[in-house]
Amino acid sequence: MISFHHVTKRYSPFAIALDDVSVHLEKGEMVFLTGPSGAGKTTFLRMIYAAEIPTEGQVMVAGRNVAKLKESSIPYLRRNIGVIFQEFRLLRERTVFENVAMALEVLGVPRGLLRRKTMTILGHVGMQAKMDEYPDSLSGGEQQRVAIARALVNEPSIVLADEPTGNLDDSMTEQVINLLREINVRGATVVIATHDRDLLERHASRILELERGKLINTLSERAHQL
Amino acid sequence: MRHKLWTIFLRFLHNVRADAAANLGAMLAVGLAVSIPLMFGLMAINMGRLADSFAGQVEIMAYISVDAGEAQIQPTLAAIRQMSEVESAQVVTAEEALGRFREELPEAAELIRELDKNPLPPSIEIRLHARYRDLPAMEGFARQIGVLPGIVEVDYGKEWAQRLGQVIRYLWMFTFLIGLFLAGASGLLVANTIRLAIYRRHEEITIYRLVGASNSFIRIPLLLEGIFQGLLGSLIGFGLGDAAFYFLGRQYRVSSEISSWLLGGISPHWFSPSLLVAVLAIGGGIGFIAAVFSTSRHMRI
Repeated sequence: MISFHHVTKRYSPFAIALDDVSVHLEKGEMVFLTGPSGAGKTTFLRMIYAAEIPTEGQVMVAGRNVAKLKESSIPYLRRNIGVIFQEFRLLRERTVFENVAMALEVLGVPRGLLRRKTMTILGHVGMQAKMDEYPDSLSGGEQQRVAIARALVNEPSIVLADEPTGNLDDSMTEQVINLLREINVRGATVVIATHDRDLLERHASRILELERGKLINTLSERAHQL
Repeated sequence: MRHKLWTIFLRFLHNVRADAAANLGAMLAVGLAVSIPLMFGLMAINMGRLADSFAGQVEIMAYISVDAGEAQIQPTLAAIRQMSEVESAQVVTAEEALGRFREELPEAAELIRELDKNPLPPSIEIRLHARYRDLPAMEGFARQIGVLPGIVEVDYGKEWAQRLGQVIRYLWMFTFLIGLFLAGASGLLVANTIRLAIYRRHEEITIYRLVGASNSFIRIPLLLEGIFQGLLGSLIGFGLGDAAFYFLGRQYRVSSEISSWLLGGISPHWFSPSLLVAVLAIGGGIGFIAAVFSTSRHMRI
């Protein structure tokens, strides 16, 4: 599903975000990406949704070489990828419903279907009752659930989460990780970037560890041993 | 596709409402940019009409050599009458010319009596068909008959016509230059409004890109905004120009003696529906080009 072949990302001769990274993620996998701040986790994720292009090497997503995609093809790639951020990135002047529905608007989904799908996903993340509220009136956990709903509403085959629990307490963290696990069980490939060791201990099945841009460990089925 | 277009249109309306003040500022700038050259353009049109109207009233006088006999005049007169431009042509003898002079200037009777001989030459008085009564046609016709046997000079108010033509040309040039300058300035203002809108909506645009919005989905509402500013702005400009001409028109009716002297009795050309369409097209075009420029420069995937 996702392959990195000797990928290097260099912003300048002294700023190397990724250094000769090679890894393959299977369809339907749930992978945790870890490492200290500045290790290259975010760059790794940004390459998957074509926000960054490798300086060297190849990033293949669903059989397509990201570096060779035409500018006009990038939106089609992104429609198959849901992205979740630590800081939620919701629009403050739009309601919960509007924030989620915007992912369907870009596809030209008819209004009736758009409403049904949005309501369903909001129900799934437990936010249907607050669909007319604005993000500022929600707790951090609620905002993250809205962001997850926006990432999932068009049923992407890949979900990328960049420190999705960074701003949440333990109980909210569990809820968010359970939601992502549920998406994974339904068949989506999920990549979660985190530096939270507790989270890895409790939930990780496969871990990719980055340090100064290098992939130093690819561990499987050993979260409990950490 | 229909739903997508409707969504894009709704986003455009939402953006216009959200940035109402910036939009209004850009529209007023376009309005001024349109109304000023519009005024000068109308002035040039009306002066052109005045010149043509004057040309329509003028008869061409082809002066004949005093030595020319009847045998030379008649063939020349026949040749002139055969020309397709000519409605009528008749010979005015030297005596008839003097008689007219006496009638028109009775106070000069004393002076005429003291003259030894008639100083006025015979001539052929020519009237052209209506469709040839404009300055370029008259100039061409004068050149043509000037070479006929017996004709020594052709007069159709050439100097006056040339001077008026030059004034009209300068007025058009000024209109064009000021129009170009103001169109450029208002275009830059619209482009700047769109640029600010892109910065203001940076987060929204980023999220739309993240969820897979195409470039056109993001760009079209901004282009519509530019066209909207241009269209409404030029409508404001048209309104301003119309109001100014309305007051001028009232003035024209009040002081009809002055205006008939100024405008030679022609009815002035006011704003017409076709001019409105042209002005709207220019305004919309300025807005569109400015928005294309701004979005291509400041938006990247």
